[in-house]
Amino acid sequence: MKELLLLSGLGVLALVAEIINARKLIYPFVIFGLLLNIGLCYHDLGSNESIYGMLRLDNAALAFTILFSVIALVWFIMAKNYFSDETNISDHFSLVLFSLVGVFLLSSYTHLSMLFLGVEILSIPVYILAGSDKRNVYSNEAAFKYFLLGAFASGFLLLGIVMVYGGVGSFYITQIAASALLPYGLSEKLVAIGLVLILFAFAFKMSAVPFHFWAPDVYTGAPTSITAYMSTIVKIGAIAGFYRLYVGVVAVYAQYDFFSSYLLIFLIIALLTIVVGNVIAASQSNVKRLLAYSSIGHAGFIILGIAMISPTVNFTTWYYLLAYCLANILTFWVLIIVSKQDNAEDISVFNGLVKRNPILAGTMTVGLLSMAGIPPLGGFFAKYFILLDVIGRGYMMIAIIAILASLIGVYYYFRIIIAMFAKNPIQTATIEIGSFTKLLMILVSCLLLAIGIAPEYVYNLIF
Amino acid sequence: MEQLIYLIPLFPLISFLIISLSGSRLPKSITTYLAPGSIFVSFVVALLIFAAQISHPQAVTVPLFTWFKVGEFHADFSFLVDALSILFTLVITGVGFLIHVYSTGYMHDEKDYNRYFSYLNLFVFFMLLLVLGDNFLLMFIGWEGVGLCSYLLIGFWFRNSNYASAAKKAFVMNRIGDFGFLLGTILIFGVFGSINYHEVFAQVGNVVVDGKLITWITILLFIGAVGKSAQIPLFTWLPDAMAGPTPVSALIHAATMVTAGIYLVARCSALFSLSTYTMHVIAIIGIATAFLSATIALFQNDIKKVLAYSTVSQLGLIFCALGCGAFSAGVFHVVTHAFFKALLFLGAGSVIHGMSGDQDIRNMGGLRKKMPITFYTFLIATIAISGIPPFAGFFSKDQMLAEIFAVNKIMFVLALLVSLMTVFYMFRLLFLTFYGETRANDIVKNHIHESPKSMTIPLSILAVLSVIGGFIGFPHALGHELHIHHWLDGFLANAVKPNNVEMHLNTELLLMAITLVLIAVVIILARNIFISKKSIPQSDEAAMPLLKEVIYYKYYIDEIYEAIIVKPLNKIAGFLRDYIERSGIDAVVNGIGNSVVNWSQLLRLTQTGGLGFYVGAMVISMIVLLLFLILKL
Amino acid sequence: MLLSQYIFLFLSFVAIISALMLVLDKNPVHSVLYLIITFFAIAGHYLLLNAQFLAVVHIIVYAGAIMVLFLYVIMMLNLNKDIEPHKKNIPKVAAAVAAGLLLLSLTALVNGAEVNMLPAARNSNIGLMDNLGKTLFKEYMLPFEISSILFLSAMVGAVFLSKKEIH
Repeated sequence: MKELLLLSGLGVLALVAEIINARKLIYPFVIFGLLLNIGLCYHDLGSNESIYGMLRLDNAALAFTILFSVIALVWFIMAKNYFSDETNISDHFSLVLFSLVGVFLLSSYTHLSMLFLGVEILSIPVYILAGSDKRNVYSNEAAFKYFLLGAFASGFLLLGIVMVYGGVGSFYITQIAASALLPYGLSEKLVAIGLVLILFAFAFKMSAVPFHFWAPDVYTGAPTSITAYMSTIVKIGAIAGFYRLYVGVVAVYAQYDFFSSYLLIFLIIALLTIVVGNVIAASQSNVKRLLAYSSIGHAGFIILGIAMISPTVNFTTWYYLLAYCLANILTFWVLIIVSKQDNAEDISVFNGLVKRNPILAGTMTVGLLSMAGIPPLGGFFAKYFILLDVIGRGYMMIAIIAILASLIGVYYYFRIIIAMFAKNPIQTATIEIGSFTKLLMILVSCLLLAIGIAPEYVYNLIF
Repeated sequence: MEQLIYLIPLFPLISFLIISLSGSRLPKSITTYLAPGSIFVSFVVALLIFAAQISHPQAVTVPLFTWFKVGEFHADFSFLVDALSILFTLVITGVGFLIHVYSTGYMHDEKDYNRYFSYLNLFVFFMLLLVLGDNFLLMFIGWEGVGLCSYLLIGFWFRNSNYASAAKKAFVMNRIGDFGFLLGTILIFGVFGSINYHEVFAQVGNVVVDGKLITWITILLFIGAVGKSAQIPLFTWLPDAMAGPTPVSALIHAATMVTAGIYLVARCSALFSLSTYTMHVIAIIGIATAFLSATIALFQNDIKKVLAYSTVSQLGLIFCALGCGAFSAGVFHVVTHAFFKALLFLGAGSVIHGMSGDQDIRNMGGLRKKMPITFYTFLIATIAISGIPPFAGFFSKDQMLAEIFAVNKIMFVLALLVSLMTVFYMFRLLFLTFYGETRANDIVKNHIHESPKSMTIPLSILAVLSVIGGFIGFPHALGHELHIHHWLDGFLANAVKPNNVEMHLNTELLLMAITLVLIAVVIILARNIFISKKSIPQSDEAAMPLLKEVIYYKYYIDEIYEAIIVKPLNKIAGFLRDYIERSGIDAVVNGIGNSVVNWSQLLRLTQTGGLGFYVGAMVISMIVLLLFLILKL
Repeated sequence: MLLSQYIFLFLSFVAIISALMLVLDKNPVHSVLYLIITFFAIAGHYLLLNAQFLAVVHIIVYAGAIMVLFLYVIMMLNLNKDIEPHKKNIPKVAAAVAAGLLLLSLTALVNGAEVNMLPAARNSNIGLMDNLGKTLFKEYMLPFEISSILFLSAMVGAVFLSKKEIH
């Protein structure tokens, strides 16, 4: 409850600050609030608190909350420039903070109404944020596309919820899950079709192939800070929601016939996502778009991991998200700084970056290497744990395809790395960054390395 | 005292690291003292250990650390101190030190002074590792390391493409031998379950091992020795290796690295002597190499080439002796040869220095007066290599000849011929270079001068060693009569399998007498031709008798190799490159890469940007996915 | 067949036809009017389900407020002509086929599903005002409150998007 009040309170505070002319206070308050939120969640680990029976702060929920709070913390520092415009500073803040409430709901819902509210609270502010660069036509296009397609997905989500309710007669996911074990009063068909529609809606939010079409356009069009936000925190929300439903409800239906086709459907989606995301990324020359496609590929890996429902699925999913988000936020951070300097997002702006600012080049390299899955960085073990589950379940071919697809990832990540280290800079002016930014970048890079070196320590810390 | 052995390779290594890491920033004056100084300190340590070994000859293993361990296989980084290794260490550090000092003078004006010395120090380090290691793997590391340094130093002036290709040739030929060595090592582990000298040789004594396997092992090891010590058929790299700076030729291609093959055979004498077949092979290849290269040396006009072929010839002679079981005599000759051949090369370097870089003896002559120290030391070395008593070469060569005589009379005759040819071409070289009139042009002539002290002092020290070095191995029969102990044989008795040839005093004296008479005849002959008649070798363009032409052009061996090995190999490689690699493997690899990009280009077309298409595609794929569900319900 | 079932069929028919006309008509003002008809038909469905409060709210909010807003916008932007550019027929056909197929597969899936009447759903008075209020403020307190965040963020977004940028 405290976390929910804190997060929504921060959003309201941002609005109040506008009224009482205290806009300068928002930034420190938000940073402090997020730190407080991390502390509260860490303190609450194991408490299993239930909020009106509709939210449950079990360890998985708290772990996801800690994760998105940490990433949001880094994001707020990274996106400082985004909040520099006095006229709409409180709008930006409140929208981002409200969407964090949506992520929180998706991490902890136990009732389908909260699921729907979570998805909407997460999405609506982000639709607007995607279009927040009002003078940029691409930003407007991004917002519009995202909104229309998102509404379309919400339609399926609602339809799915209704069908599940028709089949089971309850919105509580514990009851939906329990009815699987007591076939009395259960309409198997309605539940099956309802759940799959909800999961499709999540697949849309996670930008899984073939529901990914919006992602590249929206990620490219939106302001880069918001792209970073969407590819990390929004993704955490969507995946947390998907995870709760798939592991908490769908997996319970494993005894039913339709479950095998569920597994099939989601293996296909996961594989398609991994392959298509990585393959298309290989021919991108705009780094922002490249990262958009690469984030699609990563979503595929996570779906694959969740579909395996291994006993440690909570950790593997969480760990993959952690490694992916840290690396992603690092690469976006560097991209923002570099592209702002040169006013372009092409790979060539990274040419010779090491000569212009070695810290940026080093940070970018760490991030890219982690996403490429090079040991000993976090990204390697994230992939490794998931592939271990996949192979453990006997899906050798799927594991091989996933590995081959991520090898393509190595190719396009290294295009950037090669550009940074082996090519001559187009512009020779060095890039200056503040010492605090420098410090935090190095810190996050080290964190990425640290979680790779000691994954079991991370495990013990949270789970 | 033996525990300090690790210090010996340590100093050159430290010096190498300092020089190479600081690069050209290090002032020349520091390098000048650091590089030779590190070798000198090693030499002093080696002397101390040598003294300890004399008083208590014993084999001591000094373990440093276990390098790695895989199952039964363990490779220890440990050193073996015994008579053989300490003797080689003394030669390497002693002669190495002198050559370092010489180099400070010779390379004085070189731009890459520091690079040169860093390579030279690294070479000494690897060479010491080679002789001091207590197992085959450590020897192999040293073996590869000296090969690398040799490559780097031959190609030191790599901007000249001839020099660079000479370096490449040396490296490739060495690699062929190294491959044999490596296979031999693997086979040793397979047969004996260990690569440690002690453990292997102990089993040779106790357990009966299949003779064929021993033959295989020894032949493979010998292939390694053939590559490194420039024997038939892998000898052509050594004359080409003269492209490097002359001190390098002296150190690596005369005194130390090329004797690594001999060290290998001597170290494994317990193994080699078990296979009579291998011993025959070694003896035959040795004498054939010696004979062949001695004939080539007769007509060469490049001062360094003559010495290079002479080195090959001497090494062949040593291998012949080794093949006849005269391990200790072979090692003895390695030591004396190191003295006088290093001296010859350094002398030649001094001459070249004086001649402003000209190496052709047809342009020299009359240098005796202008470069007296060089002349006298060169004279001493020539006498020493000719085997005239009481100079060093006499003792070692006589011992080898005697032991070859005891085993095989035909080989002895050939070996005798080789040593007579040696006398001829060495005196030819001496007479043409230092006597008569100077044939160089005036500019060069006026520039001829004695070399600086840093070069002449090492020459003098080596000259002294060339004179007295032989007394460490006084002839057996004669010595027995005169009650003079053959010190070296006794010293090496524990490390190297002794030869049990008993020779009658009269036979030995007779052999010596015949040899000396023949040498005297040859010297007079050479004097007749080159001093009295003042004949000068004709220029390359003049017509020659067929036999001479064949020999002058080194039996066309390089051309034959080119025709029967290099060209077909190039053809095969070309075929592999054009058809297998480019259209096969490359095509597949590039094809995969290209197809990914092509697919990528194709798939990105799905990203049309049109909302209608997006929604349609999502709906259609949703229907397809739902079909899976419909089939199950 | 009961009377209520006839009414149900009639209302459904009206709702679907007017929804189709909403999409197909090229004149925006006509489309809006068809939308109003659709809303009324749906309100009729609510009444059939004994949910008078919902039916009234639906008409007030959608047919009243939202429709007026739509009409305002259309008239202010002067969109009351057939200004929609003529589109090719192929996308339309494709869209119709896709939608039809989706409908087909969904009906195929739902076909023959036995709909259970669970205790909570059997309460036919749930749509009455006092029951709805009690449920909303007891059982559904949290979603009710949290919707406020949703609306707040939507409002902030609307203000933000319509705000003039000062540069």
